[in-house]
Amino acid sequence: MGGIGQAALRALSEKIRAIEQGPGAAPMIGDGLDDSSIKPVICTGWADVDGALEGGITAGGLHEWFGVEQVTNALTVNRAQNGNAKGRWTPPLCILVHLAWRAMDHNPSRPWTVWIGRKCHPYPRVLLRNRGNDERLLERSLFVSPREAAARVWTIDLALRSTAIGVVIADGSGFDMAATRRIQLLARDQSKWALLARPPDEKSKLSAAQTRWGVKSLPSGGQHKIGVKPRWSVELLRCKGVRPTGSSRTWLLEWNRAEGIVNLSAGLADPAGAAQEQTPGTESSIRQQQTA
Amino acid sequence: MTLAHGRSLLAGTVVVDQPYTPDDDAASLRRLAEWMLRFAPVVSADGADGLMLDIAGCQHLFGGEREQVRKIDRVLCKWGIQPRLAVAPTVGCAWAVARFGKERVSWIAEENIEAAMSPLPIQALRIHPKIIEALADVGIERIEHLWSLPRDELVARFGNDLIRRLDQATGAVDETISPLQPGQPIEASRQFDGPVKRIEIIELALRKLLTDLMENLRNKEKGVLALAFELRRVDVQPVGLTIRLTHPNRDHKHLWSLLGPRLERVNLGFGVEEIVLRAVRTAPLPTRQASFLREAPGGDSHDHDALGELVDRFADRLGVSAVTRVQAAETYVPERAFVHAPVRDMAQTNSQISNLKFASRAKRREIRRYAAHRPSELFDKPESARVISLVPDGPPAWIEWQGQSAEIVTSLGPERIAFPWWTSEQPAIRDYYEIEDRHGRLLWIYRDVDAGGWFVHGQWI
Repeated sequence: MGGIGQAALRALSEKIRAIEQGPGAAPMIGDGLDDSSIKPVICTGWADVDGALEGGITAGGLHEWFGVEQVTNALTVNRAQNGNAKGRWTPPLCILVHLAWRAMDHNPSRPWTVWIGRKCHPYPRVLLRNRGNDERLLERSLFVSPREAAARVWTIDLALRSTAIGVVIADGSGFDMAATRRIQLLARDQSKWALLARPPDEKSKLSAAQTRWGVKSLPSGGQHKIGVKPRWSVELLRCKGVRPTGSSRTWLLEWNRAEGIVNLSAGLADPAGAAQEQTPGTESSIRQQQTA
Repeated sequence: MTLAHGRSLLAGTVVVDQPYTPDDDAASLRRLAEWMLRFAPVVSADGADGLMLDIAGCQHLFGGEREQVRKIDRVLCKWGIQPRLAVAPTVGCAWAVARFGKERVSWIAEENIEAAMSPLPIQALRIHPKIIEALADVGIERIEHLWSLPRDELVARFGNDLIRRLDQATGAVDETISPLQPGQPIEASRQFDGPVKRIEIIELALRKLLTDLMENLRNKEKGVLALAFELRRVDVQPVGLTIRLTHPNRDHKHLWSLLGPRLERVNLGFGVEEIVLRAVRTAPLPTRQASFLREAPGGDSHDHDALGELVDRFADRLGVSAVTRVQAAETYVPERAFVHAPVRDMAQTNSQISNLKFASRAKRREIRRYAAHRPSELFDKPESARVISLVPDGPPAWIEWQGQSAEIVTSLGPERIAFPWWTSEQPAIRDYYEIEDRHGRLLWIYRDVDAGGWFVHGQWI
């Protein structure tokens, strides 16, 4: 085995060690380290992301996920880009469901998840995991539908303060800096995840979020025997308090429909390749049909 | 008789199919009996489908006996109950005429008891079915046949019960009813020396009453599910408010967080003379060992307390329908397979969900097999789309939706889902396809087989 192979193996082993030590960093008290410097994290289950963020996403804090803008006709898109009209967008529901599972696994003593805002309510069947055998998230989910932004902030505030709630997932459209700061401070104090789904046209708005993530839909890349396979490109737009390791800030994820989780897309490790692939109209895209 | 047999006999009739729940029916009847205490001082539930009211002595309060009965009839009709009413000097006669008489509302005078009872069937005497069969064997089918027969022979042949019931109906033997014993209300009240207009004083008094009421409930090991307070004001009608909880609770801080804001909005008028705080609905809530920290490991009960308080706050501000949990339903129709049910009673919902898990094994199998074969977002209302297929009734090849048209690069299907034909609604058949178009949109579309149109029902996102 050449030198390049050994270097790759070494890098891989370091990566695995970082992931293994990541979630366990929080209870390592009394090991001689300064406790204040240790930030509890929740492992996302995406090795590259966890490796880049020193084990996972910070457990106590606000994390914003910008939703996916719907492809509509050119007139609507232009108006939305000019700020004259709101484009239609959808929260990255599969990713949020995956993160809710990770939070539940991280802290089983706070098993309840609150979904705030009608837009953030996934179709309940997606909440099943492990081929439908694991129904814990479905059974321990509370759905709240406040309408105005002020009511949503109040609902998030109350949910974060409750001892039964482990993670709060909410529609964060229309939130201003004051609202995000209030949520961030509370989430940090309560050591809970507050995951906000925001419309993509609010990326330029000020926010006190710990991390901000942009999500784009990608073509699934061909026929799958069991149906369509959603894939996304996830970009880390902002990360406060942690210096991400590695140069890449973009990762490719795909939905594992059998298990009900989101995995790193193994076949698309190179983002440049993915960008090339998502160009519509390439010759490689051959229409395939399968009828039952 | 099976339900299918019944439907076939009643072709064209709307048949409501609901599970038989005798315990729930009995509880509802008991609640109705408690409510009827406003019409008579002595009320009792009579069997599974009747109420017995002793209205003697209180007719003048309603403007006479007939007016009293009319009021009862009017109220019950308003609630959708079509009652059969009979007013008679004896319990037995009233029971018989109400159930077997020709009129929906009957009045029987004392001297007309025999005349009213005579044409009624033997079943109207509340006797055992075996005695009814024995009487039918000898040709006795109506009560009038019994009047002329020797009593000692009837006793010798059919037992004492027949004669006892006959005497009870005519009034020869007394019969009493077991009145309903309404539970003692759990309440606390405070009367002021004079009218009080200062909200601070009323708030202080209400806090003290709440403490007293919670102490009372703690002694009874109960928690409150509905709490009402009433302010009796000078010269104007009393004002009252009720707060409903989803989980039994007797935490002063939590209850005050619900009561306090409502008190601030009450119009005190010319002053309040008395405050009454009442636990309208209660449920068992055992006393627990106190813990230093609320989040100390205490099992599910602590979770439920915290969650119940959270849901109460949500429901109080956003409305009960805005706070839901998901319950699986026994249907393949996607929009009905999961129901967002308001969280009215957390404990009840928990038991319902756990019961569902074991009750609907078929559904569980179905969920296991197709765990992720549904989109992450299902539209409330399917959106119309233009779709072109290469062959008639074939898979889709091109789609236009939301003003954007694209070639379909991947499609999987069809998965046929049919609405249940046995319900009263219009049956529909849908052929679902999972598709991906050139823009990368992953959609769940269907063709309405009957109407022929295409619709987008959800998407993976």
